Amino acid sequence: MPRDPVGHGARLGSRRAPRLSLPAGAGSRPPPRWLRIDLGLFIGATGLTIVGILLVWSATRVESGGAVALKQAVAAVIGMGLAIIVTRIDVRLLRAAAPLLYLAALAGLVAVLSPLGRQVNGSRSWIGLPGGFTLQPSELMKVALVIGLAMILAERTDRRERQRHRDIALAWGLAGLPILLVLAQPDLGSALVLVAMSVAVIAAAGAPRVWTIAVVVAGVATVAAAFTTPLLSPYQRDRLRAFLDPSLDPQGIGYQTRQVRIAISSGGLDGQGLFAGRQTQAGLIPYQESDFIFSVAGEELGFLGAAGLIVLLGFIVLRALVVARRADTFGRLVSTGIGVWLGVQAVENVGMNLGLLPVTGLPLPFLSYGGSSMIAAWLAVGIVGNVSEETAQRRLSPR
Amino acid sequence: MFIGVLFVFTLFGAQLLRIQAFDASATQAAALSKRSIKLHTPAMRGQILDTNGQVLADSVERFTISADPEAIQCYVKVKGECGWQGVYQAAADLSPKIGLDVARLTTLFTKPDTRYVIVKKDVSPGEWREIQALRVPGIAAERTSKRLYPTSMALGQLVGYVNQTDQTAAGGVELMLDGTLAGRSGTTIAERAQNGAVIPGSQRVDQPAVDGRNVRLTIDSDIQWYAQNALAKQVTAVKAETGTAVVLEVATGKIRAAASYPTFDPNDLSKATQDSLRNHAFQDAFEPGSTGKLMTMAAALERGVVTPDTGVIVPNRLPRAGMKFKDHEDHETEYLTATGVIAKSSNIGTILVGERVPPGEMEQTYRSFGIGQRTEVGFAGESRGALQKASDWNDPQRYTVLFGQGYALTAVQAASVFATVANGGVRAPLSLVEGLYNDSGTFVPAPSEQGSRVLSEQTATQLSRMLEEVTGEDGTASDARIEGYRVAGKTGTADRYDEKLKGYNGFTASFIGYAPAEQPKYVVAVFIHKPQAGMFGGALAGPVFNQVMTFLLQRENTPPSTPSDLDYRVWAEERLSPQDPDVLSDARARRDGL
Repeated sequence: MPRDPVGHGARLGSRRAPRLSLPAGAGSRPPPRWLRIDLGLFIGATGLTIVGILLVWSATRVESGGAVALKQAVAAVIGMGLAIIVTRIDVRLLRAAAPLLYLAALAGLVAVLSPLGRQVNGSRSWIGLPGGFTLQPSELMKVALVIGLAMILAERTDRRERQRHRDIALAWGLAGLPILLVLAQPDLGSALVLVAMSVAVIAAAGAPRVWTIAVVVAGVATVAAAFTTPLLSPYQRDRLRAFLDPSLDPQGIGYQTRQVRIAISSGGLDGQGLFAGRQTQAGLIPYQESDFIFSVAGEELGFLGAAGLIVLLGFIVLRALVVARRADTFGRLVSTGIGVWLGVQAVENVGMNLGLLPVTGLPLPFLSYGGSSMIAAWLAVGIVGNVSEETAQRRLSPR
Repeated sequence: MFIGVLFVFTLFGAQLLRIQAFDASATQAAALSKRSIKLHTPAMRGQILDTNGQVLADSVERFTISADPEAIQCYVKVKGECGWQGVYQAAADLSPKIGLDVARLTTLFTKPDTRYVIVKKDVSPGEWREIQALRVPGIAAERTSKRLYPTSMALGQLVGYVNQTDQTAAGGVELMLDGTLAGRSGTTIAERAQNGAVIPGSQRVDQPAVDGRNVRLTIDSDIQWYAQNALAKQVTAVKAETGTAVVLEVATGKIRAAASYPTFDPNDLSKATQDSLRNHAFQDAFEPGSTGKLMTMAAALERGVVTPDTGVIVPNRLPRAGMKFKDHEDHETEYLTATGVIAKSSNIGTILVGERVPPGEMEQTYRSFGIGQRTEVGFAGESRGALQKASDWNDPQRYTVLFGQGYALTAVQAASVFATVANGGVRAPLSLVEGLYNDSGTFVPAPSEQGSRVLSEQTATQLSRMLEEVTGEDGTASDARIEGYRVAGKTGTADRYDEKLKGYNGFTASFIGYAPAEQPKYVVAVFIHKPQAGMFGGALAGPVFNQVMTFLLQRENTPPSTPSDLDYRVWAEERLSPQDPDVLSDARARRDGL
């Protein structure tokens, strides 16, 4: 993350100037327009998505054949289509749409708490849609919030003004409202992502340090309180406890952790083969197609496959951060937010699969089953792609 | 930040490596043992066939249907959710296929805190296929088998039965030949999924199931059926406690029928009483009474003590061993021949003949007829009877054994005695099993054992001819007579020892015989235990013998008998003198110091 509190995105870019290497003497013609998307990012995300659909299929085919995988594929296609559209629209349109998107997502978050919402596994996070589809507004909120924060914070930075406390307070107000609504569901994982994203974007926008420190301190205090006070629901506290000692409840919460561990450990170097993982095909791991999709990869694709997924996820996160470095202020903030969002989500999800982090219900981007998550992740790719292209355009044809 | 991201992902890679490479084997072993289950594949019991190949016992494939109340909720999903709609729909759809009403199924499918309920047992493969076609999640089936007995009551006590729950043999031929019939159940090691279903492709056959082999009995189910019916009618008519009838093939010792009454239906054990499960032909030992006189006479003839024409003076009472022996009815002093003693079944006459054979030799003769030892059949729970050593006989017993009291035999042993006489003095070993089918389905006959000579051919011929007089003018068994055939046989009326009362109570009425006497194919032995109407063998057992024997003669298209060359008389030709050295009498016994 750039340390400079007054982001000098443009200057930064010109100083480093890692120009796209165009063929010398080709009349420096720009590549065709359809190619002007961030190819690496797209290919990486597409790869993850395809592997994800296969893993979801593998985890669910015994119980429901190809139906779940098909739904996932449909969501992926919709997500990819939206991503391509987002990549190609004018960034100003994106900024203009931000308030609408934010309000829509906020309305969704309110709606899930109303009788419209559907409770699954202790959380009211979904809205039922006709045709058996469901929508998870917290996923949409990730997109809306990252654009929204970037938009209001970029304006002052672009004018080379320091962020005032008032602006930061507004930004935190903007972030705090959905965070509280998500916590009310209660969806700890999504709230964590929103908080991390907000901290990163606001800090990157050059907020006074005291804000960042205050939020981090508040976060630590909250975690401490979570263990000691009845702030968390018993369900969530149990999950935290079982993380610390899975043998506490071998038939209940610890069961999942243990089964996941068994599945991953039985993968070996090159796995048991797709559709051939014993634990997976036996259906021994609850919610394996969503939160624990990584364990399918661990068992069926082995170390090579699972490590490959980690590398790809890491690549996408890093790619977003790289794009952020070169972009203008809005692009920088938005890409940083997305990088942190996808990064935190990947780290938390893979971490809980590997038994390194407590279990919270967070999907692994591009891989876990869940249409909203898939579409949101692809929208994120689209936005980073847009920023990336914008940056490239700016460099090819300096204004 | 880059470094942070790289660091975290590297950490993940390391953890992945640790889990998958270093800690893997222990975790995997724990997981496998947790998942694997041993499945038993039941072996199908072999068939039991009669001598003509008719099926007496058969095993068919059946299924036990079970349900997982949790999984069944997902039969119908409402808005993608499993729930009571799934249960209700499953119950409604399965009801006509399973044959249980919807309410009953709903109760089963909503049983709390379990993931396994047995829905129905004994479901045929066809029904299971129909149930399976509905693809209701959580409905599973376990392969079992069911034993069917097409001949039901007629052969219940002979063929025996299995415990329908686990198909283990519990009686009769089923138990006797269990080693051949049972086969060996196989085991499969498989891995089990969370919902209890076996993970496809995880099965590994540890030991394949080997189905049992078929066996063929010597029993002819036509004869058995006929004998069973005739016996049942008579036992019911005379209100007897039990009855048994045995048909034995003379030349081979093959048991063609072994009927018992009351019997039971091995298909439905719930109606069977403990006593009706017994096979009275093999398992009940009883005192033979007068039919045993045949062996006494055989010993005397064999040793030249008497000839069929030897005169015997039979008083009304005979004092021996401090007792006064009597015949079945009072009479004036009678002048009989040895033939007459048999024909009129005189106890006193038999004592006068038999006491001339030393007790040890008499015992030997009985034993050579097969008394006191289990027959070659080895039927499940077969009794060996009871015959003490002659040296252990008490004083009265030394005389009572001569007319068939004081030792015990089974119905098949008794039939074998007569078959030995009918077979010219050679005792053919008894058999119930014709042979087995080997693994390739080829019939392998049971090894035939050599017979043993018990009597000289002449003695056998004489005895047989003497037995014909039993059904003659002056004999005790006019009811056993069959028009056109010479019928040899012997009646018996024995005091029946009751185990429960530890004393004599009631009678055993019997008739054992064969026809045509000159060339008999079968011996038919009929026993009626504890009749309440009448007591004499001729009248009670004779008619059953008559019906079964007549059936056999007609079935075999046996030509009518030709007259015998031997002219034996029942009565002595003139009044006999006790002083006559050739005549048997109490006086002569005293003179000879017996």
